[in-house]
Amino acid sequence: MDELVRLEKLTKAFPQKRKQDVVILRDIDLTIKEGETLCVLGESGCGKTTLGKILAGLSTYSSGSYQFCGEEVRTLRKEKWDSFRNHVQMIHQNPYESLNPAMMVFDMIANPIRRHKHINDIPTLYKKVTDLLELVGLTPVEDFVDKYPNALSGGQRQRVSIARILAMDPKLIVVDEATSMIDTSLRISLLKTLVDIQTKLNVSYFFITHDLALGRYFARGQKAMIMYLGRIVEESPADELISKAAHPYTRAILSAASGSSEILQHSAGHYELLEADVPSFTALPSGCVLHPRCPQRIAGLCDCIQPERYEVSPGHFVSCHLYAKDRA
Amino acid sequence: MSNDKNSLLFQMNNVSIAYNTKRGALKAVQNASFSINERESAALIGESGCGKTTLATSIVDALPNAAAITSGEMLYKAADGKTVDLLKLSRGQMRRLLWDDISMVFQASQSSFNPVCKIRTQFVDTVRAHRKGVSNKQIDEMSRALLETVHLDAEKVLDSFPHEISGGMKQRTLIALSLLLDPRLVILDEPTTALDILTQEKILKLLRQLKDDKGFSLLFITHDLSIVSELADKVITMYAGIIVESAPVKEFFSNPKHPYSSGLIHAIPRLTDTDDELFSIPGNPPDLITLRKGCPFAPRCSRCVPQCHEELPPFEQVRADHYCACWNPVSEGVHHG
Repeated sequence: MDELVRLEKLTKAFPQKRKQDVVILRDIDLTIKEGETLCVLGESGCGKTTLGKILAGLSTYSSGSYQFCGEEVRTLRKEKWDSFRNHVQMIHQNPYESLNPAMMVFDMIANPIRRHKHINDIPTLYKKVTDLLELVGLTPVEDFVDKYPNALSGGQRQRVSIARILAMDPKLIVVDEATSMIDTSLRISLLKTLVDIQTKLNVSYFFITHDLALGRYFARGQKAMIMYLGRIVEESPADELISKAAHPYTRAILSAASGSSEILQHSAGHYELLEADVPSFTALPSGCVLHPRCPQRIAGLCDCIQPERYEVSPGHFVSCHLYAKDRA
Repeated sequence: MSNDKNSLLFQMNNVSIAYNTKRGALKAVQNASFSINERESAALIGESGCGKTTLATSIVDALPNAAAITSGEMLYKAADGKTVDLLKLSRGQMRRLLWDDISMVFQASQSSFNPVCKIRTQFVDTVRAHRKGVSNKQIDEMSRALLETVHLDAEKVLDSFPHEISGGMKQRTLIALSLLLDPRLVILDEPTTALDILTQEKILKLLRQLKDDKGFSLLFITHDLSIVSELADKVITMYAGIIVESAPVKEFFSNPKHPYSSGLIHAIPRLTDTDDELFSIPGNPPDLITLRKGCPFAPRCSRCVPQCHEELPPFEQVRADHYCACWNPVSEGVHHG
């Protein structure tokens, strides 16, 4: 598999009037290969959507490097930039707001093809649109081509936005909480469609979610990472992340998510963070950002020095002093 | 207040609610019947648009103007032991009952507070509206005690405007406000959506503990089954405006009778179970205006029999405390519907 995306020390800061810049993403390192899924998990406000927007080219980055197919995104111009934008597409969270209510499904999918592939011949367009609708599971196709979004359910709308994106033959799709607005009973079938598309077209996904169980389900056998306050705290194969969570933060959210109930899930051991509010981005703690809430903090180390990335097992990286080589 | 867990507190019988729309009457709730005992916590689950919020807001008489209760009765056993029908009460009587006996935390609690009043004012106003001759000092003490039980810094919160406190704090403040007058039934609409996972855990724990300490009953709406498993004693499943199943929580998860409940349970990814194949329920929820005859779930149901398309199944008892409306219920041991 070829490497598609490589981020190195990527940082994003938002400038403020008369105040210091607010740094939202810090030192993000990651790679996504062709046909691979990377699932990003984190609470609201940890910077995962900002990272998704940068990957999709909708937002700039302040420093560090973002290479797409080996080329630095910041330096892309004209045709190269256009082709980059075509190759990276985004599925938005809210399908009730991301589709133009005054446009038919056919036009919604055909317009990007007209604009970017310069195909204006109706029979060819119709063939392309119906193929895409079939691919995303909106069958019988004839029922859908002439519908307006208001006649579609949330799940169907989301499928239309996927079809619209696939019209651009993307290599990377940023999926930003795409199932959170969809009824529980329909979520799984949408995720299965996404997986089918991946096997057929060999696209990569950058899957953003806050639902750990959903992330684990979607990224089975692939990679997942946990973000906290703009940093990647843990990265590993998805199953290992759940079964052998290493970082204190990961263990706390897993414990909270699996809950204490005996009926539905068996908690993998209770683990709680200390009572403290989530720090604000404008006043981040020194050292490891988790240290004010971490029950296992090491005084004099965690509150001073930002931990490096340690590899605890192949492909499993943790940013935590507890896993420093000389300590273990 | 009696400590008997089995004494009936609230009972809804055959309530139907319809919205008046341009296309005709939208039957948001049809013949809903359920009951809540004292100190019981009931979860109302279902997909968006199935009428669960409508059903809950009808109890506190806060339906939008376009909606009307077309039939049924809501029996509430007041503190003095008398049973009243909430739908027959006069406006004045209802106003006295609300918040004193029944309180509700609405969805989007983030915007439930008046943005131009300090939290303290909103606590004071609530007490003033219901209790006569309570001094400001007493109110202050009451609110402080409550805010402390929800683990908030009372001093800071009372003197803040709603925008100055975070989402999780606002949610906890609202829970405190809803308990201010010692209600006997608290209705929570999606108590933890829009909160992050760690705050959610905190609030659930708090609710469980408060319920045991203060002895109120809970009716909460959610679509998150993991919350159900942690907080509920009883689960009421709604589909397309109809209550299809009502079961004790353990039985709901281990032995669901309605194919829809069973489908929901198997559509949700779990953290701990490995390699469990998940199933979606095929199809889409029906349009509530142009409902066909028969069971509304029939077109999506894998256990559908010809009778399902003809007649609406009755809401019948299948075992103790377990009711279900289905012609061909899921039998024990069989999974995924």
